[in-house]
Amino acid sequence: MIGRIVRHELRSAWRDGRIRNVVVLTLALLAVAVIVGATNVRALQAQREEAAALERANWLEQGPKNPHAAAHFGQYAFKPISGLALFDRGVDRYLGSAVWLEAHRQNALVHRPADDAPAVQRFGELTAANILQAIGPLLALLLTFAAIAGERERGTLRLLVGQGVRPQALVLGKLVAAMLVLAPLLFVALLSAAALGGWAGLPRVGLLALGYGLYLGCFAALNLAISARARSSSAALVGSLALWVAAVVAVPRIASDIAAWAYPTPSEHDFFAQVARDIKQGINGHDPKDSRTEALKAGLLARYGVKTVEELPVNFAGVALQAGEEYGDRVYDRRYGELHAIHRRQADLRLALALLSPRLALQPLSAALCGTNLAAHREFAAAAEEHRRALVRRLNEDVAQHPGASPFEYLAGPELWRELGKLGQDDADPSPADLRGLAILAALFLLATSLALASARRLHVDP
Amino acid sequence: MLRAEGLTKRYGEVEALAGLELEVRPGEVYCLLGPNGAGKSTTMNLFLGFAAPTAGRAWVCGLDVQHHLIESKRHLAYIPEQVHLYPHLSGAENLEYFAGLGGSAVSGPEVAALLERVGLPAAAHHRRSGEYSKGMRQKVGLALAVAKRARALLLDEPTSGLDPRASFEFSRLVRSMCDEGVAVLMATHDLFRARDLANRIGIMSAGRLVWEGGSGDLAGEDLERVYLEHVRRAAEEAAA
Amino acid sequence: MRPSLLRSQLRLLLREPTLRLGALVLLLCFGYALARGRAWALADAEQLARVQHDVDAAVAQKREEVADVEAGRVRAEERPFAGSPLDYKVAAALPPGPLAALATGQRDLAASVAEVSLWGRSDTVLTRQSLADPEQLQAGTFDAAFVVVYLLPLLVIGLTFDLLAGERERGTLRLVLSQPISPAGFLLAKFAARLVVLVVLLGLFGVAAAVALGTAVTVALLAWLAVAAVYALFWSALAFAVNTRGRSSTANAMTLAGAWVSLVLLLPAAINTVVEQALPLPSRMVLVGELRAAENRAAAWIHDHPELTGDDAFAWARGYYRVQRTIEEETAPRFAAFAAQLEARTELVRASSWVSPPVLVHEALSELAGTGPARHTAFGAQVLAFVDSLRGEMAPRLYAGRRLTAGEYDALPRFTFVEEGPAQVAVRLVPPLGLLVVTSAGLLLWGVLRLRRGEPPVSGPQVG
Repeated sequence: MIGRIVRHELRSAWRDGRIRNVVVLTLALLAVAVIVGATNVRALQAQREEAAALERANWLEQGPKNPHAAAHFGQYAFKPISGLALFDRGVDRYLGSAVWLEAHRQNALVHRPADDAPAVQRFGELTAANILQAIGPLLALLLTFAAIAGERERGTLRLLVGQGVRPQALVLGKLVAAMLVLAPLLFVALLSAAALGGWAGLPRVGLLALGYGLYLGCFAALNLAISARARSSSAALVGSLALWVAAVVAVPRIASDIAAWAYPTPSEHDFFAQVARDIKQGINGHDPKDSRTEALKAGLLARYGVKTVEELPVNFAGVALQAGEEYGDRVYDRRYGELHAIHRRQADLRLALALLSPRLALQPLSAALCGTNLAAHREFAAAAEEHRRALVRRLNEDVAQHPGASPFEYLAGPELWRELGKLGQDDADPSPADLRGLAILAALFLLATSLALASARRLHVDP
Repeated sequence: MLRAEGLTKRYGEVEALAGLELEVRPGEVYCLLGPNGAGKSTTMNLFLGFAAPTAGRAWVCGLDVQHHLIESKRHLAYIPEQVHLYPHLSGAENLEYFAGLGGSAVSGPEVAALLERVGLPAAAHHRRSGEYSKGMRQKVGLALAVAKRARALLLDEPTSGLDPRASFEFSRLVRSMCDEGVAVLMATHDLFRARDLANRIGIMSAGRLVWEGGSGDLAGEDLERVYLEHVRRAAEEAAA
Repeated sequence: MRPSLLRSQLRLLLREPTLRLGALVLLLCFGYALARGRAWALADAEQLARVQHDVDAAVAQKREEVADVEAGRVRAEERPFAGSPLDYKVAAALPPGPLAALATGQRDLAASVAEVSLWGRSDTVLTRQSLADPEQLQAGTFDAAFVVVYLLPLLVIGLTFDLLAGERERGTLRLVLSQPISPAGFLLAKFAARLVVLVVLLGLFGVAAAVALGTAVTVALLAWLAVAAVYALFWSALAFAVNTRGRSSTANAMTLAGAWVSLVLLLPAAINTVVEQALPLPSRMVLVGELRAAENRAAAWIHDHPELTGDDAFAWARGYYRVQRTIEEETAPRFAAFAAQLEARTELVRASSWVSPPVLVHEALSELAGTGPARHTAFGAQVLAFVDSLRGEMAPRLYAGRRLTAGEYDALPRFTFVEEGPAQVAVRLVPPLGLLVVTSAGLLLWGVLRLRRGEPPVSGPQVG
């Protein structure tokens, strides 16, 4: 019976010019978005390669200098862009793209694409993900808002139920039919994205399809529930539209707003001022830098059994630099750790609020699978930081190994620069994505479907 | 008071009304009978200016409706088959609102008196009109006609769906308005009510008036027989 | 239109459950946005004050170091760098406008404070190492401007989509039009009643905002509300025109929802895409590489010219400063091209806002709140000009090796942001907003003519 209902619904959807137009329009939008996305991603990848090559040359050609001066010159690392970013840019635009790896400082990434974009960007971007997230549910709405209420108004519902069609079967059939109409959109968008991205992320594309399918299914089922209970198809339309506005437009904003309210992010001024204080006065505030250096000196003199710094077999400046570096690392680990914990709590709160809007579950999931979320960004930042620490350690060691009359008299050359490699994490496999959103979407879908079935059980056949 | 002069209305190929000649004088009830699609509602719509005639004219109180769309309605009241009111407002509020639309504002005590006059129980005056029966809503419609001191009244199937008692009450009210000099044009399928209420009766078929007569013309004759015969004859002529 | 007609329509509208619910939701949204905006603006102002304080304290400490040497409390050899021109620092801040709480605008993204000194280069003065939660930035804040641009049209649509069709579908239209009233007059009265309610709601919000922000009802606030009202007028007029097509209320709702999605979601995103594709920016990453290459060259050059650095205590500072200037000179054309492209983008967006009311209104609301792109651009330009003037003052001292005296510290330049005159803002905003008003009037006129032309819309699309 359900099969027959599904076939009938598909035929009606196909004959409905309005639905056909919107499907075609959405497909066209998706095509534009995917092509533009692919062009952008290719351009960004090329630019990044150019910049990385330029930067490598800069590092190698810096001429003879003291290794610590070289550590201050430092290296720049440029964040790679994932292939699937053409489907979903995630929050990538609002994250920096380059980081300066220098002595003493764990810098945050700078040059967010959003910094240079006009204010109109705040209205959102034309990416395939955004289209599916915002317009997809509208399409689901078009397919389902009149599904039950319309049949009731036309009197065909009475006829159907009179002929022994179970209302639950009717609702399920209409749900399946709506999903079948929406499925091609998903597959076209995702497969073209996968193809343009070089098929590398096919398993992830599968998970994306699942996530987006559940997301659209939630809307279809909820609209059916509304349609089953509404007085008229006009009332069902208004109800479904209100749901769409709330779930797609309003709640995601309120949720991020509430998250930022509950767990405020420190300003960069406060954050870096705190770091500077920690380094100067000690993490606990009672261990100033000068006394740390004194203690280090005393320990070193005792270890080598000498009286003065000049008698040491190592360059004390190098040792002190490295010790300072390591203390700084501890400070940064702690303060960045706190910052990341705040971001994590914000994300968790938003995810908890996904009960009010499936988009809050889908957005992070989609960005995670496309490698354009904060976690992917942080992974790069962590790799860059690891590289920075190794780089600076090696340079400090080189200073320490060259004792001399004055601490920074020694100059190193291209051999050392060449020895210090560049950051290589391009071919690293992406780490497993956070799939909590998928579980939440599945739960929401089941909830929405049971809601629709419950409404069907208490169906009024007459207007 | 109400006069149709060669009134014709075509919708594409279909001739809904073909050269209707008709007059309703003050204090007279004119009943239009005829099968569905005969042109009764079109006639009403043309008098109301809801549709523009293809040819001919509709006159209300000496005003050509087509050229005095607003002015003509000052003298005209209309009670559609279903008097739809704003369900979340009470009968009194609806009356006040609709009367106000036409610029004939009525105050609270007047409203009560009007509703009293059309026999709406005082307890119902301030109840949501969504809970009213069809008869009660029609009474509000009649009160509106009284409020605007209409000199002509158009009734579209006023008694369909009313129980005999409500139907009787309604006729009494219409009669009393007639006695004050109002001209009434009523389209109906209710032969009994037509016979009871009408001064004159017109039978329409396929956009034409096929029979017209005063209540005296019928004398002892059975209206149902006259009606069926003329409708049948008109259908035969049309087929030929 | 008779006042009594408007009055009766107002009374009818006020009894409508949709209005009560919609108005309540809108006012709640406004209330939340206002509360959040106020807290956010206060925190923002505090933050600026803190930066200002920290920078001033750091400079005061430097001044004390100089004063100590001058007073002979500390020997000059112990503080070889005291009074270095490189140490003078100013926090250049863009003060939040009095209405900043009403629109976040660019303020959560663009720098609103910069620490200006002889350190660094012009290209880095306003570069932020932002720690902000990117998801918050992407989602955008739930500010009053959002409520106006996104949610207000939805209330308008909710109140007007069945302006005519609702009366027809409920069956009241026949009785209404049997009264001596023209369809256009009736519909205009209903339209006007809705507009009055919307203006009253905006007025209520305005009063609440004035109270919450502790300002009087200023010209800026009135202008802000007027822009919102013009936007509401546009959407009401659009809904009015759609109603006169005589379709069913369902069809009207779909048409208007489609218009909302197209104008508020799709068109701005499309403008964004067009701007980025038509006017691509030079890559920031490649620019970094070029800057660093220039740095290598400049460092080698200064290494070969020891006479430019000298050999006193400021030798290193002089060398550093000269290197930075050389890099700037060498890369200036690149940055000029970048800035030109940014300017072209701004122009293109401004041009496109003529056809996109939400973009226009969003920009106008943030400009009037003092958080708009133009004010931030002006701030950036003024900071760079200030950096130049500071360098003009300090570089000769650095080159000559002249230390700052304690007295001089107090007389050094400070940054004050010069606001754009209201006339300039008006010149930018009034013409496109005027077009919006004209468009609205045109839509109304079109609708009225349509109603006048045909038969009264009592029987819906399928006449017969």
